[in-house]
Amino acid sequence: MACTGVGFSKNLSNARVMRAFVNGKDVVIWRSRSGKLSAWENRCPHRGMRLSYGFVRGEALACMYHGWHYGVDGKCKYIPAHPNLEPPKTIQIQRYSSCEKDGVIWVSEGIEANTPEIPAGLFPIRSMELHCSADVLKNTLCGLTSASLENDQPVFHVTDEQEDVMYIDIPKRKFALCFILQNFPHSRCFIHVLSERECAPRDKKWISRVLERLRRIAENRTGEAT
Amino acid sequence: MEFTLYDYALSGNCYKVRLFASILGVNYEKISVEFHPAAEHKSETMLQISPAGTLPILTVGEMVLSETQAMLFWMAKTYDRSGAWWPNNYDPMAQAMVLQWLGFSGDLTATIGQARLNSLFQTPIDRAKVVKCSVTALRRLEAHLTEQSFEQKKFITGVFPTIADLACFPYVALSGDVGTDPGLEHDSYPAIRNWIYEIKSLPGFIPMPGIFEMHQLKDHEADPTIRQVPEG
Repeated sequence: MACTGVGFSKNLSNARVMRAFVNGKDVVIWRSRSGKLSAWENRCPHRGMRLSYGFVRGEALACMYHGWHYGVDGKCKYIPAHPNLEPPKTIQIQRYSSCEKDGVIWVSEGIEANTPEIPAGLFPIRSMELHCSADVLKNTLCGLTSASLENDQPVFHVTDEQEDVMYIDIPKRKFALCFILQNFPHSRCFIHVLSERECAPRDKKWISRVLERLRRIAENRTGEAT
Repeated sequence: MEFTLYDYALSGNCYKVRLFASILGVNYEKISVEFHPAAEHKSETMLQISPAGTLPILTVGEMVLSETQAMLFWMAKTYDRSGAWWPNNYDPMAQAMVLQWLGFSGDLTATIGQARLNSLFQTPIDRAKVVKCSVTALRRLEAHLTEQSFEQKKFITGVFPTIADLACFPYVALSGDVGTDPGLEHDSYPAIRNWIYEIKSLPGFIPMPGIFEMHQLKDHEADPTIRQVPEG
């Protein structure tokens, strides 16, 4: 099963929770107080509440609704309404495998961990959501390289293309970027963009604004297609 | 009692004043006004107090303020001994940046605030258009906070929060529950998500309906899971 890049490590500090989508499935990703990363089905087995609304309490994630606590093994540890009850071991959340490599959080279905296939030593720049599918974005990027462009348009040059990863050069400023693509519901996608070299803050800002420009172009294409 | 606040519990703008008063540790008199369904803020009695016919209203003796941004400024200048919430007089550009994002907070009320009123009270709006403008506003803040993070700045104008952060916070934090419209949920905005965590971590933070406080254990609190017998 392929890994999905869901975001950057730096954007999920200890004791914080985020929500993401992996193969169309709703997933809660959280980091315990000591820093342990977990990815689970985003649903409390008790009443179906999204666990991404929950709170990290020490090494457990507590559901916002009735406060059931789940440890990093996905098993229920504590039910506040029955403080003296040891919760049955059968109360367990479906876990996903998760790992971190070079500042990227990767999640895949099932417990078997997979190794993500991107080169080591890249530098995270920005995660950005687009209101277009990953396919439209890919087509846009490939189209831009051959289409005639305005003078001030940054030219994206696709150097390599895989299913969920694209490598793009911006020759004008000599940036080599890696785009990790993640599909989101409602025909949206996320791109997690990394640079092959460490950038100064002003270069990151320039790249960030170029990405927004790319988003405007890709979303306009979606508008034309529908 | 330092001042009087005419307040509505569900209002994000009223919450800005309650939140800042809590952070500053200021006591004030709170008078509840029924915004919906009675529209008490438009009653003759209330219009005598504030002809603007809006909420919140802040009064100190004869002085009456009807704009939330002005209230935050007055509170900062009057009660903030740290001098952190409004930049000092020697830095006009820092002051200008705070004013710029205070202005932006008005855009949030006009977009996300309107979408939320439509969700709560079925006020008539062009929902598709308002949601689109809300997404534009959220994207602008997300881009700005991302650029701030490149310089290790966690807040809108720098490494410390100002009244601009408090002015922008409520309607951004509330946007996730405005509806199921794609682009309003915080999952789309990692920098905003982190900024919300930072605001919620401020000493004196208080919640409002729809904005919950963090339940992270404090150091002195016992971890209930410790009661469990360790495995193995």
